[in-house]
Amino acid sequence: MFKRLLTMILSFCILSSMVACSSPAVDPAASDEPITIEFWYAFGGPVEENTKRLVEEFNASQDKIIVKAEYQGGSYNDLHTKVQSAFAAKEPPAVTLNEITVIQNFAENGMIQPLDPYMQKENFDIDDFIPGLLSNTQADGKTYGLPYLRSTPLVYYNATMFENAGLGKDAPKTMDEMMEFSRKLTNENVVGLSTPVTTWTYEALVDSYGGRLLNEEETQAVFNTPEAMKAIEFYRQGLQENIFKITTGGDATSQAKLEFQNQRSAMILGSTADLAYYTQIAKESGFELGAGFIPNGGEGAVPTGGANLVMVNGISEEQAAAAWEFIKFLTTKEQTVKSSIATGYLPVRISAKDSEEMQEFYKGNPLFRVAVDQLETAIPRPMAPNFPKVNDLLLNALTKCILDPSVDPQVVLDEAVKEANVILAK
Amino acid sequence: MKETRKKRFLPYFLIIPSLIFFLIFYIYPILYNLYLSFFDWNLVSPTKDFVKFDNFIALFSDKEFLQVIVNSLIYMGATVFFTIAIALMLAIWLNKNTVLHTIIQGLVFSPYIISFVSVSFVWMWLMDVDYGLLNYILGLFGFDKCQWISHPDSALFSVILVGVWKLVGYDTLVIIGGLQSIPKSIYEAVSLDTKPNMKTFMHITVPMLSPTLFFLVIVNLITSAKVFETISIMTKGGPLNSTNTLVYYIYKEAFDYFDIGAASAGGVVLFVILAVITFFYFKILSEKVNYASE
Repeated sequence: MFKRLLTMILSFCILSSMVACSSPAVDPAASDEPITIEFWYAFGGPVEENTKRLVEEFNASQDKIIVKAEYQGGSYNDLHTKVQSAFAAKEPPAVTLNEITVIQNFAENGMIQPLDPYMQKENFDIDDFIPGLLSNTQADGKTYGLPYLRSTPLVYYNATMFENAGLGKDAPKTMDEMMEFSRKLTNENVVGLSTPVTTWTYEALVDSYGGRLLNEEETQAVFNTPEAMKAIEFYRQGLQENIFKITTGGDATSQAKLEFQNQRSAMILGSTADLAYYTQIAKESGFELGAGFIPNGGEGAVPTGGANLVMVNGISEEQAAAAWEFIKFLTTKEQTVKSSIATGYLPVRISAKDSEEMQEFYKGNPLFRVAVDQLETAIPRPMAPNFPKVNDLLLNALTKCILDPSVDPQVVLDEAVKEANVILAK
Repeated sequence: MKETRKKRFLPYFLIIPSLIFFLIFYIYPILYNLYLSFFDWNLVSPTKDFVKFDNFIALFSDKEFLQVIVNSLIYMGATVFFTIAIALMLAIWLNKNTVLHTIIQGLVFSPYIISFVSVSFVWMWLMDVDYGLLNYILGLFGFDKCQWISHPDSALFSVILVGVWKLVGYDTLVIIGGLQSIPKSIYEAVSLDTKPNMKTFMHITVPMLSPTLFFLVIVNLITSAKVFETISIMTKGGPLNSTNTLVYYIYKEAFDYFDIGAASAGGVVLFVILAVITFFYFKILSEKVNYASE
C-alpha cells in the first residue's frame, strides 16, 4: 500500500514539475562568447533561398553574432501573428519583417523599436534609400524600419499577343488605352485582362485615377470619391463588355494568374515580385513577356508593397546592438544588389540601383527596370492601425460590385465608407 | 475510524493528477476566455480596458457576425445530415466480409486520415472553375460550369461537400461496427414472418443502431462546429462572408485584427451554442435511444 502511494506521489510530483518548468533557462552571457539572435521571415522559394544566403554570409563575415533564421509561414499575416504571440509571451525574435501597412500598429503597441538612436550614433546614410520607399517605414516622426523586400504593382502582358493583334510591343499607357487594347485582344479563347479582386491592385488603379483609399490623416475612408469610383467603373465596364475576367474568393489570385500563364488572358495586374516567375513561365510556354507601369488614369500615382526590416522590442541591449548590425548588413549596397537580382524585388538603395552591376543586369533584363522607374510616382500606403478591417470591408464591397452587375457601385461603396469611418474613428 | 477516513480521501487523492491537468488545460482557458471577453485588448498592450458587455453588444449588432452564426448552423446541420445519411447507405452496402468490400471500406475511410490541409488543396484544384475536373465532368453531361468556391451562392455548399467527403469514411466504419453488433437472431426472427424490407430497416436496424447514430451526431456536430482548415485555405471566409464560420471569424478577429476581446466573445458564443446543443441532445434524444443491445 505504502509503495503504491509513494509511486503516486512521485508521479504527481513529476507531472506538476513538467507543468511548472515552462520558464526559460537563464542565459549567463559571457562577454567573449558570440551572441545569438533570431530573425523571423515569411515566404519560401527564391525569397527564402536569398534569406538563407544572406544569413550565412553574415554569420561567416564576423564571429561576434550568430543569427538564426526561422521560417514563419507563407504570408505576412502568418508572420505577424507569430511575432505578436511571441512578443506577448516575452520571447520575441530580435529582427523580423513588417508588411508596410502594419508598421504604425506595431509601433503604437510598443512591439518594435525606433532605429533613430542607432542611425544617429553612426551617421547612418538614410538618404541613400529611395524616398518613395521610406514613407512606409515611419510612424510619429520616427523611423521604425528599413526597406527590404519592396515591390510595386505592374501590368504584365503577353507581348506576342499584342503583336498579333497589331498593337505593337508597348504596354498601354493610359487606362483608356488599356480598355481599348482589351477590346482588340479579346477573342473566343482570350480575354484582354485577368485580375484578382485584391485591395492592393485596386488601390493601384484608384491611386492612378487620382483617388485614395483613406484621407491624408487616415481618419476617414475616401474610396467613394468620383476619382476613386472610376476604378470600379473601369472593372465593371470591362466585365460588361466581356473583355475582363475578374476573379473573386479565397483563390482569386492564383486563378487570375492561371489565366495569364495559360495564355487565356493578355494582361494581368500583379506585383514586381512575380516577375521572375512570369519570366520563367513565358520562356517555357514560348511567348514574349512584357511589363509596364500601371496605366495612367489621370494622376498616375502608384502604391508600393512588400515588407520592411524591423527590430522587435523586449530584447536585451546586446541583442539590439547585434540586431542593428544584422539589419545594416542586409541593407548594404552590395547585398541589396544581390537580393534584388535573386528575387525580383526592388533595389531599395539609390546607390544600388545606380551600381554598375545593377545597370548591367537591367541591360540583359529590361523588365526588371520597369518597377524601379515607376518608383518616381510612388506614394505611401495606408498605415492606420484598424486598416486590416477596412481592407476587408473594401474587399467585400468590391466583390459585391463584381459579382452582381445589377448593384449600383456608388451605393455599395458609400455604405462601405460609412462602416469604415466608424472603424477608423475607434 | 482511520480506515473510513482513508476510504473517504483516497479517491480524491487518486484523481489529483488528472484533476490538475483538467483544471490547467480545460477549466482555466475557458474561464480566462470568459474573462477576456469583457475587455478591450490587443494581445500586446500592457493594459486591458474593462468594457463590460460591449464586445457582446458589438458582436450581435454586427450583421456579419449574424451571418457567421447562420453559416455555422447551416454548415453543421448539412454536414451532419449528409454525412450520416451517406455513411448509413455505404455501411449497409459494405457490411459484408468479402475482399472487395474490405478494400472499398479502406478506400472510403482514407479521406479521414489525410490532413485537412492537403484535402483542401486537392479540392481547390478539383473545383477550379476553368480547369477543374468537376466542371469538366459537368461539361461532359452538358451542364453549365459551376462557380464552386468563387461565388457566394455555391461556396458554402462546396465546403460542406468537402467536409462530408472527409467525415463520411469514419462514420461508415463506426456504423458498420454498429451493424455487426446487432444480434443475428433478431433478423432471423423477422425472416420467419416476412422478407427483409424497408420496414425491417426502420423498425429493427435503425433502433438497434440508435446508440451509434446518437454518438455520431454528437461527434459530427462538434467536429463541424470547429471547421477551420477548409475555410482558411479554400475560401478565406469569402466570397462576401458566405463561408465565414465561427472559428474562422474568431481567428480573424484575434490574429488579423488583433481584437482579443471580440475574439473571446465569439469563443464564448461558440461554447454556449455547443453546450446548448449537447445538453438538449442528451436530454431529449437519450430517452428515445435504445441501449437494450448493450
